[in-house]
Amino acid sequence: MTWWPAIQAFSVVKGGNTPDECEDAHRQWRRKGRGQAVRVAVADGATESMLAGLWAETLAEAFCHRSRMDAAAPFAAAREEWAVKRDTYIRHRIARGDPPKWYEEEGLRRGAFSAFLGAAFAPGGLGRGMYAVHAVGDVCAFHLRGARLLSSFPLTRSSEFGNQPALVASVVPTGQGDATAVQTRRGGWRRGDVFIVASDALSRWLLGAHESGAERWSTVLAISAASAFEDLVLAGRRDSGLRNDDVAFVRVSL
Amino acid sequence: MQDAIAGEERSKAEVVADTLNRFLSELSLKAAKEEGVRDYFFVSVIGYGEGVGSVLGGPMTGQDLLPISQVADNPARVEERPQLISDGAGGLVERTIKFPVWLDPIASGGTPMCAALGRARDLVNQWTDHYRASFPPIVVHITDGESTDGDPSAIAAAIRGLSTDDGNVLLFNMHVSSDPAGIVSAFPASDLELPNDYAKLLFSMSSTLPGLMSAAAEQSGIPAGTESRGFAYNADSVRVVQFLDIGTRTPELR
Repeated sequence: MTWWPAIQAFSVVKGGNTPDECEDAHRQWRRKGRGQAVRVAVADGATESMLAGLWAETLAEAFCHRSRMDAAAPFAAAREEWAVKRDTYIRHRIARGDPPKWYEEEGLRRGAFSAFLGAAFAPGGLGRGMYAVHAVGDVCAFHLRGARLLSSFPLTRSSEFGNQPALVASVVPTGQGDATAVQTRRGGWRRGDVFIVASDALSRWLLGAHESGAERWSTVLAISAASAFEDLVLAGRRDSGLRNDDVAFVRVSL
Repeated sequence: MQDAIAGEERSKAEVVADTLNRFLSELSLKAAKEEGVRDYFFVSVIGYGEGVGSVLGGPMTGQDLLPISQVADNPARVEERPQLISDGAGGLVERTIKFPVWLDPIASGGTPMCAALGRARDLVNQWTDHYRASFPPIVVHITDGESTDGDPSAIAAAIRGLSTDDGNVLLFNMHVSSDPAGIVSAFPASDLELPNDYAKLLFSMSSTLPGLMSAAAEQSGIPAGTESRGFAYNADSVRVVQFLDIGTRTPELR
């Protein structure tokens, strides 16, 4: 029998920015038939770096398309790809008579940074299966059964969100090894379970509501259209303390 | 400021100018995105001695308060300086980095501290009127001598009394030393161990360090707590760099 979980993914740019300035990225991938599997990823590019949106996209893409099921996020492949994209960007700038200025040269040399979470799912028969979540920073995955929260990873409380989360760097400085600390959680799922992956602002808002007894899981479980998701985010920013930031959201219904 | 800083051949003025140039460079990099510099910050660099005024050179000469995009795009010159980096095999290799210069060291005249702080108060007052929702301005006052134009306490209090909707203006004071045997004090919580009335005066003029900054001090190995003031006495070149780094720490922009 074909295993075909429903995946929905949305993003909303930070208020005041244009959509092409969004530095949160989400990707998904699935394989049918033998070795069937689903992968989703959300990456949140750090504002204080150049080409951060491109790095977030590259990371999410690399996890979904270039890693084996159980491998940790394939940062090395993503870094190589980002370097090619960066060089192409520099060539375009030079070709159009607008070569990078001193601060852009230095910013591009230092590289971009991004929080990251990749989740992989595989069926195991009898309506059950396994998952693995790899995370760096404050993008979170929530495992829900009905509207009940079973687990939150890697952060578990809204107070844990800080200003300096761990990030994946697009450039590892010469002479230094890759010190990226990946946290991994593995577990099982049952048919009907839902995983929500959300970048930091939305994750914090969802966890805050959970802690105070406000019910937002049902709301995010019910959303089926991009316009409804955008309405939710805009209302959250306006009325209930959702921080104005780029937001990415992926829901996997198993 | 023309005397050598504690333990080195470079003058205090040279160390302060180098530190400020590097600071402006880092601030520009924090705000640099692929299509230009975003005006996350406004900057003013006032010097005092024979007179009181902006010490920025080049195209920005005489300009008091500038958005970071204009600062980034208009250094007086961009020098190339050698930098040693690890080669990854236990050795060092030299590479050339671009080092933008906005201001050169100057040391002349007296110490008209009241006039200088008065100028800072006027600029901050004008800025806080316009940007009510922003993080409050940070005034970092660097000096090596006692005021020659009166008691600056009242003007310092006036600066600390200004505010945005996000809190009061922060005034930090750093005394730079030429005495290698002098006792260095950084971020003290009381004036009990300060060596003289002048140090106690600067301490009393200094704001309490916000939690983000005392945490940053702790991370740099400098003991700091909830009562710590943004004040340093007898700072050598290492402390000058650390003080500016810690005292201008703001929440990350991500």
